[in-house]
Amino acid sequence: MPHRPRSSGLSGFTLSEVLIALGILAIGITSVASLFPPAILMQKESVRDILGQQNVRSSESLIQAKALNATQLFFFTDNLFGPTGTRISVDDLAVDNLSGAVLARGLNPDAPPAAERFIVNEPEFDLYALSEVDEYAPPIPSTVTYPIPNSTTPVNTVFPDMRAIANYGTRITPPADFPLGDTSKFTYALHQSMLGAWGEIDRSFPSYIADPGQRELYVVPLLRRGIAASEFASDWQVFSLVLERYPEDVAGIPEDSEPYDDVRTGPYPAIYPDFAAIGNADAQSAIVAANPFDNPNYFPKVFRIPANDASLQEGTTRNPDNLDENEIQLEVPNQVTFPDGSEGFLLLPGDLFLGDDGKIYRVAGFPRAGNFNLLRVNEETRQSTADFLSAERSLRAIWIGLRPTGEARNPLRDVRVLSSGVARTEE
Amino acid sequence: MFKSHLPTRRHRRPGFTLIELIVAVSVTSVLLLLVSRVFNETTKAINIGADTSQIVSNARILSDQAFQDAARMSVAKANPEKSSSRDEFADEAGGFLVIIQQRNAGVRFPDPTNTRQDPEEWLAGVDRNGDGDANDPGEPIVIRTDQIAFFAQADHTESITPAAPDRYDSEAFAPFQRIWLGHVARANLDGSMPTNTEPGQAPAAGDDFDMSQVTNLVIGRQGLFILDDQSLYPDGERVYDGTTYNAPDTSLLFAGSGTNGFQVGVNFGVTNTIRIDETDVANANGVDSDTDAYDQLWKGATDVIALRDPDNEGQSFASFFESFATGSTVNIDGLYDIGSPTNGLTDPGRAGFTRTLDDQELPNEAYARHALSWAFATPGQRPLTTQDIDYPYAPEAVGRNHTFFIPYVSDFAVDFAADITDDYTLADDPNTLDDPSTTAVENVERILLPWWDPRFQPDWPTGQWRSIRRNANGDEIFVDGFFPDGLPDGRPDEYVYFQPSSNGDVIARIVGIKWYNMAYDPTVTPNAAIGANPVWVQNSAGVLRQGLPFDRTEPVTWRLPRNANAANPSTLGPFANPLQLDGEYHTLPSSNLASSRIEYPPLVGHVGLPTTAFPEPIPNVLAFEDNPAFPPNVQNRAVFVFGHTPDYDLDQSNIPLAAREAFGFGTDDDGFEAGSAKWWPYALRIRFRLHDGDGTYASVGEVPSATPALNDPSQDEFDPIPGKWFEQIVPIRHHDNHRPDLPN
Repeated sequence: MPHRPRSSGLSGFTLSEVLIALGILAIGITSVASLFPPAILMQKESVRDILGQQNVRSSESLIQAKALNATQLFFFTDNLFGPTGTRISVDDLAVDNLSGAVLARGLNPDAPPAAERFIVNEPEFDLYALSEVDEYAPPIPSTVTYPIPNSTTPVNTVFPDMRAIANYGTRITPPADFPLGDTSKFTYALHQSMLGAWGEIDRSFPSYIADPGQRELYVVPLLRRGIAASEFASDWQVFSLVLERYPEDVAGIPEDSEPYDDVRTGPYPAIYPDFAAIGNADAQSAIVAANPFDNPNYFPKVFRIPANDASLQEGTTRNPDNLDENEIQLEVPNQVTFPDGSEGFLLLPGDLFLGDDGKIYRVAGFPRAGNFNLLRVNEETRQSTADFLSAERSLRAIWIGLRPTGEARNPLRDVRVLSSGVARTEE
Repeated sequence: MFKSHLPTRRHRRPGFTLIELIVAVSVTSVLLLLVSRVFNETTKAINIGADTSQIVSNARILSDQAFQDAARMSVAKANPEKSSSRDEFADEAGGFLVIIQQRNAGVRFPDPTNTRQDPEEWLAGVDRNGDGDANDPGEPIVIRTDQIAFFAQADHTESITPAAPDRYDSEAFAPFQRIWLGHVARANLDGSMPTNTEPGQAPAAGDDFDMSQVTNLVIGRQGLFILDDQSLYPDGERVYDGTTYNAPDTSLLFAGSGTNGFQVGVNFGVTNTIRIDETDVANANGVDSDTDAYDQLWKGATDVIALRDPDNEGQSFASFFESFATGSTVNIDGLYDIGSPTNGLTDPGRAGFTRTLDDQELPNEAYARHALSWAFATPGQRPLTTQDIDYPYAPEAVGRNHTFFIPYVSDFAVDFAADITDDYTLADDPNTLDDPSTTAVENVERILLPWWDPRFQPDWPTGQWRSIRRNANGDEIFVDGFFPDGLPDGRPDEYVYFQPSSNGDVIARIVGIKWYNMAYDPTVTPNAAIGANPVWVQNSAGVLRQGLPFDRTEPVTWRLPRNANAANPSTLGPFANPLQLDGEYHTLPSSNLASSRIEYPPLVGHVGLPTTAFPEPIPNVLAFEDNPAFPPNVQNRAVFVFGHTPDYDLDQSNIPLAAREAFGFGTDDDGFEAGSAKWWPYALRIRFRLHDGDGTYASVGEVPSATPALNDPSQDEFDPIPGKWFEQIVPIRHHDNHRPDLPN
């Protein structure tokens, strides 16, 4: 009878068995250990959120401290003066070739491309970037000298955007001053020259970090006149777009560029060249930077992008895709080339943006294959006082945070609706 | 046979070979090593994370509470005539705001007890006490130990303190709280007050806590309810200690023109947490050498609202509204004159006190325990004691009522943004400041604002300002100049930067909001002539323009007037020469700026921004090598008092400009409505540096390691700093009619 060998169970582990077991053990341990980094990351996120809330509150405090000039805002929204000093008209827009901000406000997307497309703005519904408000400033007087003693250089040659110094003191009603600025003539001129009254220093936090390029959070406020506003009552909403700084210098922008130098020369979107070649002329002109004067090296940009929602009549040229309720159609290509040459999307699923209907949206996806211009969106359930207005106003544009490169994540982290009543009325 | 049944060696149970064992053990060892490293790193990260959580939690509590408090702040009253009923009173009541900015040297961060980081090592080679000498690595760190106090509308908040006779109880109505925030001292373990209570001070004999250790530094908050209990005044009066007191006229609180109203913002007679003391002059090392008892009380000797030892009934009126309201009937002089009827501030022994808030002291441990258990005792929880600042209670409960608020706070800095018409921000180039006919520096007497309305002075140049000065001969001198900011425009002042443009012209740019604080520019020789003093902007020629060029050779403490009739600003009398008055009172916008002391922080170039555009946020975060902080001749304290205008119809002509500005009188000259609070801040910036329990937590990347040049790549390099900085900007509500009268 052949000897029956002992069962293998009684024999020792082979080296390979041991190694396999150890390998499994290592995998297990590593798996357990791998739980920690996400936990730490989550904690970091939560800390950052808390700090972000502090910073946002600081920004709101500063907005309250500086206040809006209600009179000027009313003037701005109710009395749109063109370069000739008269009420703005389509002719003015055409002749003077005002910037996209003005045109965007005058476009009626449902009208044919003709004079009648210009419609009166809707102060109760439109969102205004501060730079847009500036666009409505009175014309540049050619005879006013720059207010530095002994300087006789005409103001408009010193700084082409300085306006209305001469007109200011003679007006019965304050002109469409920069709304977050002072009302004195001189500071008015300063503000016109740089929009510094609400400059990036005061819109970046925390302020104890000396270099704003190193600050953690940036805020871009947008304004909207509340429906309850009247000549005698202030009712302004401030939408505060909260952005992360660009992680590093944005490609395509010289590092040694002086942030304030010549930023304003030429249409602002030129720093994103792709914008100059997308969409039709109307769409191009309707692209507006809400913070064109902020240092592009680190300050994320907020752009107004023309868009439509399902309120448009189906089957028309404006709404060829027959939008569903939760869909938004961009009027410019979502796929763009970024300044560094990278391909990317303006909006990707998960990105936050603000509609000019006062709602805050988040991209849920691309519902139709191959059509990246059509977004499925979810309305954020956070505070918004615009709900009751939405039925009266279709979406015409959205305000987005622009990622610096195609690979970067969207810098827009939050949209806050500040309480109204921060405007002060002149007595 | 027998042999054949023996098991052979071949069939024995096989074991591991030595090689196998060695291999297995080695592999296991390597694995364990790796795993242990992973877990070590993870544990370390978790520890840091726990510290971070603690710090962030504290930061959130502090900023939330500060935000809530500021939202309730009673700002200066715009129109005192309005207020007669309580409802209106709630809306329109005035108040005061005191901001005390102070430096304390001597705070040390602990030696590392673990291998994480070494704050001391980071600071090696850094001059940290700012005495102006060469690097002295052993020197301690200077921190900001600011305080802020103001009246806040109590709204619906109530004390959680049980009722006691003559004290706050549920029957009483407390319309206001006095909010105070600042560093506090830790009481000794037996409840007694330590000798050395200042942050940075080493413990004296008998002191249980070393205030030079950051882990012993605590931010306190006191929400002292101000009681308004008319029932204490049957028939409108009350007799106490043989003295008859009339019931205060609460309708005039803070703003009345009668004799009982709280009339002057500086007359906070019971605020013995606030040190305004003419003797408070620091020595060369930045350490306050003042040892009077009141100074020892100002930090940390406060307790929960209106709590006193029930066994000590001899003290009455504590924390009552009466103390505030009637206090103003006494001269301000009494605030620090021992023996005067109120002498609430400076009588160490309480001699002659009749209405002193002794309840805010912690006289002994028994009292402390008693009082604290009243406030916080919860079944099953240990009572909060002065020895242990771990809170077993809800942080908000602690925060609202108890002095010990947030532990492990080194820096606590309060800056403010305000609309201050300070003459020197209006100054032109230094070489035009002087009267060309004399060598004397003029006293800027008046700034007129022709741009405000051309109808004022139609022949004046547009967009310029004109200052009226007087030279040594008393002649009027007009100086026109360029105006950056500083006009009373109803908005916070901003920094202005003058930048040459590409075509050689100059573009003036408003850079950002101007945060007023006591810091200074170390690059400018102290005690220099006004024209060469610190600057914050550059003019077209690259010449640095003046900011607030105060003399750094004088302490910045702004004293209360000694004028015996100074209970009301209308009786302040002229400020003939404030520097020669003992105990004069200066406010920031005083026209006599030669005697006001405030300095600006070092000017740091910032990448992406114009050089010298705005100040280093807190110059005493670290004393950089090229930025030695705080020479000994620099003040250690600045006191900013914001009051209000009590008398709407006062004859302005009899009040000197200095007094008008000091107390916020409106004048027609600057377009402000009389009675407005034109110099009240519009926002406060509260910054604080928090630490963990052992003080070794460090954050990286927040403060530049050195003053960076414009576009200097090195600006990206940061030194780690002990603790973590936070910031909360809080708004201060302003009434519409605080805004200037704009021309229309």
